Amino acid sequence: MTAVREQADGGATGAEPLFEATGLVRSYRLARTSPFGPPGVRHAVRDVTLRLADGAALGIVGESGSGKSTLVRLLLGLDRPDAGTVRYRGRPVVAGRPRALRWFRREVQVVFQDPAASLDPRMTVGAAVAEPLACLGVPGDHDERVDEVLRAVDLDPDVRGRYPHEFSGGQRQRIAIARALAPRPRVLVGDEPVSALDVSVRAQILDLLGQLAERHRLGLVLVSHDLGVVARLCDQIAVMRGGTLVEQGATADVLSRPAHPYARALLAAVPRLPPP
Amino acid sequence: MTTDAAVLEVTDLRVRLGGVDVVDGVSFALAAGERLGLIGESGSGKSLTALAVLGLLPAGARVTGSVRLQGRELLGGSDRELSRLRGRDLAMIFQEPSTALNPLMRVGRQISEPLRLHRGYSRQAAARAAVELATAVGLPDPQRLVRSYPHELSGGQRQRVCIAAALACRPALLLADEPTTALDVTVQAEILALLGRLVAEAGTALLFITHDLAVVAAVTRRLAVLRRGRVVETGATDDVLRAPADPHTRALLAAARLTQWNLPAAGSAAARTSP
Ligand SMILES: Nc1ncnc2c1ncn2[C@@H]1O[C@H](COP(=O)(O)OP(=O)(O)OP(=O)(O)O)[C@@H](O)[C@H]1O
Ligand SMILES: Nc1ncnc2c1ncn2[C@@H]1O[C@H](COP(=O)(O)OP(=O)(O)OP(=O)(O)O)[C@@H](O)[C@H]1O
Ligand SMILES: [Mg+2]
Ligand SMILES: [Mg+2]
Repeated sequence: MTAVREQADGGATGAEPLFEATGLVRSYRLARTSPFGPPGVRHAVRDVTLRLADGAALGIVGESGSGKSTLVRLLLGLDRPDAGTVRYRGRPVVAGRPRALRWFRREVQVVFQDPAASLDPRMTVGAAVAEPLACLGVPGDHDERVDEVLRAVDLDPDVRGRYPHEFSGGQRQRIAIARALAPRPRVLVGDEPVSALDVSVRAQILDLLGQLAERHRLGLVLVSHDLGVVARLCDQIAVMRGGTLVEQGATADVLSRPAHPYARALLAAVPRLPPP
Repeated sequence: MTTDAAVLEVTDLRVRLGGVDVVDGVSFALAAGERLGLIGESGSGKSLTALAVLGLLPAGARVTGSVRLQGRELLGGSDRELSRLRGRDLAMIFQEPSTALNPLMRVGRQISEPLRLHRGYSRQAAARAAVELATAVGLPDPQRLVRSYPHELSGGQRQRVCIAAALACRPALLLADEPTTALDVTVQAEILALLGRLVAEAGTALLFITHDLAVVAAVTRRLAVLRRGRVVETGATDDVLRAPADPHTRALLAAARLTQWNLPAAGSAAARTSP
């Protein structure tokens, strides 16, 4: 695929981090278990601080329910933290009116954990992929760009007129990826973006993302339970458990010398193929 | 493979959608307590094969062939007949858990619904069973969790709710479509062990669809590889994964080995703690 970010590049300033999240806290009130008991509180994210440098790739791994998707929603300004701040290139990202975050959406695109959440069932594939281009006022030929990104995720551009429910799970996930890449974002945030893909398509999408990262400094924040994905694409890794980051560092270091017991358990539980 | 012991017997199954045979003459059989893996590239027809068995194909699909559950023909059966079997004798864990759950119903009720429908559980008994099942699939704080709505759960928690509901009646046949894709590897290991116990104790026949070849190696004994709606290879799982005969299966395995996370050099902490 061609340059993904050429128009998002203007005004980049050297060493300033792209994302800076400080002291993020998000808890949910829960139903009472009895009419007289206290309402419960679930701390989904407690005191998370992280930085992402320009063009860097961060992998977030961790237990189911540990707060990864909640953290992602906070980083994207889709949810308000109880405490803490998110800054993108120095500007605060605050959930609120969608128009107010347009500057941010032009640069940061997302693939959600559940493709159903990214795709409107009443919109054809072509319209869904073109939508961010139109909404964000991206210049250029939108039709051409839609074909280009569909091809990049190994879908035939002829599928443009079909609806999401007419596709398999892995095909839907690729449509969501194509939609996110269409406006040439500077950062792609993916919540399990390749979990539904078969191994050969996955390898192809990982190559694509790797190339975009290398040639166009596409920044990546990837939540994945697949350590192969993180090891391949992310230079930084954060291990999450119970709402906190229990370990953070260079991917190679953490994967070869995990310090936290949970990180060790995670590495030990990776299922392996029998040797050939 | 025609034996009376077959729990499921699928013969020459064809599903036509939009002018294409997306499932194109698939046959296989599953005995009680047997675990069959179904793999193949994205769009090869894995989910539609399972949905055809369940009688839940999308509108407009034309299906022919034969699907026998414990000797009884399911294709062409009435909706009423099928819904009596669904959840009780055969159950499915769907690929996209959020679309399988009712957003307006507390998850506890969704877990125990099959028990109320098919086993005549009272409200109280169903509520207790929901907590037990939620505990069995490793959901945290199950007493409270059963009172939540689906949107209040994480992706992996929703997937475990679907698994709990599918296991509730200990069905004779379980169709599991990518049942652990939303789970981290530690929880995945627990769920796979739970499925293993169900197969061993209840004699459930398991059709396990996945794109994770390491998982299919751990869970299943036999394997069928689909491509463009056809079975291109079958055999013992170990044999197929060690020495695939079909070139496309070989390509799939090569890609799997390429993207698999490899243990760092021996002597490091990770290498020591790995099995
Ligand atoms: N709207 C909500 N109301 C109440 N609790 C919530 C809500 N959303 C999330 N939670 C809880 O917050 C915790 C973190 O959820 P989150 O979705 O961030 O987990 P996750 O790490 O993404 O898990 P998974 O890997 O399973 O997707 C979970 O215990 C979940 O049940
Ligand atoms: N409602 C529909 N209308 C038309 N075509 C459909 C419909 N549903 C699925 N298909 C097509 O049928 C083929 C098989 O789909 P299926 O969902 O069985 O694939 P799969 O093997 O489960 O793939 P994945 O691994 O991506 O989930 C795909 O090419 C898909 O595009
Ligand atoms: Mg999540
Ligand atoms: Mg599928």
